[in-house]
Amino acid sequence: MSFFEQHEKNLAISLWLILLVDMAKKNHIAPDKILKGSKLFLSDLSNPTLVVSHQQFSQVIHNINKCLPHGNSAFLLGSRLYPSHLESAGQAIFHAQNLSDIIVTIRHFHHQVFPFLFMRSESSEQHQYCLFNQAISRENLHHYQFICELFTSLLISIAKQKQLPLSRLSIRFPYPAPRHIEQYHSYLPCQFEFSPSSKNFTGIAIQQSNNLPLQIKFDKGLLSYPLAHGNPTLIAHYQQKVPSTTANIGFIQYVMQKMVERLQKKQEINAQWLAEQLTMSQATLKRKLSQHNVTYQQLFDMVRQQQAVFLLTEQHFNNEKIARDLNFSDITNFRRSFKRWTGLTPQALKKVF
Amino acid sequence: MNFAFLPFHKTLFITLLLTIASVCFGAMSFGQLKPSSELDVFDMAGEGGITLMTLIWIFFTLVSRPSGRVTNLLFIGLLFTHVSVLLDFLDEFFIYPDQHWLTAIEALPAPLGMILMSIALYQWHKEQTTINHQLSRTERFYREHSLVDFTTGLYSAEYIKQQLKVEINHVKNQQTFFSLMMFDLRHFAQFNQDYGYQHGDLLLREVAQLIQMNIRDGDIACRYASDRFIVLMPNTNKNTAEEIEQQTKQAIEHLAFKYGQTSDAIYPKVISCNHQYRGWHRYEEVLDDINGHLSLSKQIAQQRCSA
Repeated sequence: MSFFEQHEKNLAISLWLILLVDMAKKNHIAPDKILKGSKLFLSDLSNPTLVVSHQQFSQVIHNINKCLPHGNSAFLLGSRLYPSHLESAGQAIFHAQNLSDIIVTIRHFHHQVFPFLFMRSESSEQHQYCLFNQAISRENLHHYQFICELFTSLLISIAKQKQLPLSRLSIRFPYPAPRHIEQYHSYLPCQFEFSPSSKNFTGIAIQQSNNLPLQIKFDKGLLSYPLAHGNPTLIAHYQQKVPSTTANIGFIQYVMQKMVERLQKKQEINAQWLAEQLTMSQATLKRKLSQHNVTYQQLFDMVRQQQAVFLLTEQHFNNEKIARDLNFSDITNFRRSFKRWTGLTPQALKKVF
Repeated sequence: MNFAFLPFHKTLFITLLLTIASVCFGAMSFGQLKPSSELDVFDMAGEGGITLMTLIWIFFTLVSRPSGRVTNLLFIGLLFTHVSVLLDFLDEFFIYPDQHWLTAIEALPAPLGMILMSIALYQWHKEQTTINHQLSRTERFYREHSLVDFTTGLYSAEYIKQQLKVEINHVKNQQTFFSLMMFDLRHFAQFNQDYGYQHGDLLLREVAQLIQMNIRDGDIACRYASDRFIVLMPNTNKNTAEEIEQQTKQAIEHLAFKYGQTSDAIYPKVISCNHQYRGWHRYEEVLDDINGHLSLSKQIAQQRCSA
């Protein structure tokens, strides 16, 4: 198993770019403003075999956020991708019989459907959770917000077409309520909430929102709820058309999955171990990580913070148990680290959610 | 910049060019070129700048206005001013014979032009009042062109937020109330997939117009987001809001929307809700609440459908 990096051109998303350029045109914005700095030209987009790098797409999102300030571009794009623009993946999802089929299909076609986020499943007694993190590179909050909006509106348009009871889904966004809340109201007919921002006394946000995952929660019964247009033979047909893309894993996803695995085995995690896992020197690892806007410590903290917040707010574990689960030597140590990650003590955080 | 109006002003541009040409020609034929030692660079730069500015004003007036009486008056006024300034500028290059009539009348066009422009501005004011009346169902107290939604021509959600802030303050102080209604097109995503996004946008535009036609003066309609519209009704109680909501809903559901050249009609279905507010909450809470009411109406409609 190997990974790909943010500068590698392997994302076949020319249709996405075409839709974005079209949207801009409708708002009287020239296509070259959207493609500026991405080393892409309008004529490239019509090439069906075009592949772009995460870096290039990220630049396009930056331009979109700058030129189209209404905040609806991600939602519009998300609601237009399914089913035709997802090709065989779209067709396979179209014929899914239930939610667990959809999840399996999205996993199978991960690289085609949505390469920017990767999924981790968790479950409690009654609920199933899908947690999504940035897969390729850790981008700033504007980028992350765009990706989250794009992904959720894509999911919702799938769920709508499959007639999934949307009121049983609830989404938690990793950032505080944005200005363009109206887009969320209109595009997401399910429950949704935002993560509170904790600010210190100078008003600067302590908790960095791009550290948190996008969380989708639903009751376990929904997994087997029969959906419209279900057809198992057709799913199998479309799934076989495209070989599984598990080999295409983003760099951050690769590292984070390794860390989570190791944490679950309760073994020690450090930079040396990680470098060995990636078969590179520690210096190379450091350089690679910084190319993806992250340090070793940040990633390690992110993994533990996400686990801690999840166990605390959803599983309602006590501090002692969480500290043990996360390999902390004692509770005081855990509480101190928790405060450093989130700006709040575990009890205070529990209250704001 | 949008140059759509320019083709309508061909005659005005020709007039402008002819005037400038004849003024320059007149100056050249009556005067003699000054020796270069007598040229005053600062004067030249100053007066040249003013001449250029009046030209720019003429250009922007023509670019931003459709043709008509007010445009012509503005143009003539500006043109006269421009002639005076241009003559003044040419003075810097030419010496005229003593007491020449050209120097005598040089200043005359400017006041004449200013009088004409004043008349034009008064007419413009009257025109603007009419347009404001036309816009009265989409805006109140405040104009901001960057908040207009391109698809429907209504203001976007950002505008309704500002209006709500003002309204909530007002209602709190005066101890009155206001109502909100919301409309949401059903199966709009499906419509887009079946008929294409261009037709989806057309449908939105037509629904927006219908909403505007069915509300009263003083109410304002905005496009909230996507297929959702919101109407703010100051000083309106629940019953009146309910009545207007039903009327508007009926109007929308009787729209026989046509796509392309066929006579097949699509009748849009719409979910609506209304609620009365007293200014006890912040605008974010009010928006959350009205959206909550809409989801409730949606659930009721779905249950009715399945039953």
